[in-house]
Amino acid sequence: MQVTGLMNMSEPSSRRIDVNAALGWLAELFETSPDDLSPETPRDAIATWDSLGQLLLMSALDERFGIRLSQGEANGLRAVGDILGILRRHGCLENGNAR
Amino acid sequence: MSAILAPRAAAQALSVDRLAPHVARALGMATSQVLEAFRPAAPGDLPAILDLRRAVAGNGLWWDDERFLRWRYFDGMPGSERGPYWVFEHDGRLLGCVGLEPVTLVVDGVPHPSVRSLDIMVHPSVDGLGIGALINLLLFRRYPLMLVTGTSERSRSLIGRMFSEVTALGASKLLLRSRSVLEGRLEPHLAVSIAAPVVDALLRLRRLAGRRVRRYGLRVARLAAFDDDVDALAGHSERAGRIIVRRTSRYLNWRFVSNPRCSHAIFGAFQGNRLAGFIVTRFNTARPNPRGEAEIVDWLVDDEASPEEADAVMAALLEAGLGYLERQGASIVRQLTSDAESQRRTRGHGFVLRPDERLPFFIHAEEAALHQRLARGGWYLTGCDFDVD
Repeated sequence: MQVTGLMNMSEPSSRRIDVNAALGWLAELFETSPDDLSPETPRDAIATWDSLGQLLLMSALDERFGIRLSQGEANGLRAVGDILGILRRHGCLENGNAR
Repeated sequence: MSAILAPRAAAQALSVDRLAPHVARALGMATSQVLEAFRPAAPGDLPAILDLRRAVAGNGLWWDDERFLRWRYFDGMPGSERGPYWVFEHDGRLLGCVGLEPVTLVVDGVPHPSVRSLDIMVHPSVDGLGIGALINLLLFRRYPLMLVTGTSERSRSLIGRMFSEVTALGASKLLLRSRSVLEGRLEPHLAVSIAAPVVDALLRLRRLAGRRVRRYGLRVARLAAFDDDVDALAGHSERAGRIIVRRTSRYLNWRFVSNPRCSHAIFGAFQGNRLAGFIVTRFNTARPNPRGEAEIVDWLVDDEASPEEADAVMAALLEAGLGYLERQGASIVRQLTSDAESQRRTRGHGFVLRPDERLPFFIHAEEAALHQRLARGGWYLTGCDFDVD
């Protein structure tokens, strides 16, 4: 059975990741290739970032990073870079650029 | 277990427990409240349901929606429980609704109660908050086997991740009259008037090719309604190696004869007094239909017939059905078929497959063994289905 690996990863050591790891994590979440994602990728370019994708994102942010988005924050997510911005603001993203 | 054959939602770790809190937060509710918000509709909900459906579909509802809902869900089939209709209510306001049609899916001769999920709707003011996805997850808890035919372009990805796609029905079209097509391509009007009769004659000649089969003493008659004969006919299909939806005279009469949204024409093929097959056609002029499009909605040929006899029954039924639609003024006949054999049979009558027009069919089965059997594909509810809501 396919396991997404999105759950049970809330240990402190796994709460800080670099940009490339974050893109890989998002690619897994949205069932796409990491090569298709960059901070500039808009939401509407990701077919699976629909209402279900948004729910899974909110759930995964909570489970892995302990980040609970407000509805305003959730509504403001328009591109992959916005998700990275959330991770950065919560201290979960290491400094550095995408590959 | 193969990843492909794992229940799709389970493989993605989609669950009510995981996702409901986030829907609740988006709506400003407690998780327990969001679970209680989804409940079976009562007859008193009908006005609010009608409002919700109008808010979602706008002018797309060309039919008398109250009459339709009463027929399909609130009154239901005579002598049976009404069809399940569920609503999602928050602060006295309906935010979502979904209708289900109970059917029996017969898998290798074993009946499995199931539901077809028909028209799930979420109010535009709360679109994107995940209510539609949550509704599906809550339905999975109550209905162990769910079937979905077709999706909107927008919900294609969501349904594809929550359910498993089994097959994609292939659309094919037959041109009975060329005028509506030529008018878009030929100028001036005189050219159309000259060309159309010639093209129509050629189309008719092409359809005649489909008649070149042995007749096996078949007689085709238009039927006002189905009777017990169809129960025996359909029963022959409920056997090992086959997956099919159970069709009874009561179900078919409810669905096609008493359908308030449009009328259908039913033809039966008989060998002596034995029903050897039927076909159901629809030419709906109540809806906006400028191109004169008609549909073949359903058919069934006796599963015990030899391949040659089955070809003959199908040819006789198509000939009767298409002739009727032509006399009614239809220009184009559409159908959806699930298998190469059905497509071969209709190709002989001039139907042309449209590779770019496909209608996906999805299932969700809680039981792993049943899911594996169904997800292998190679089947559909009937040989042909255009009765999609």
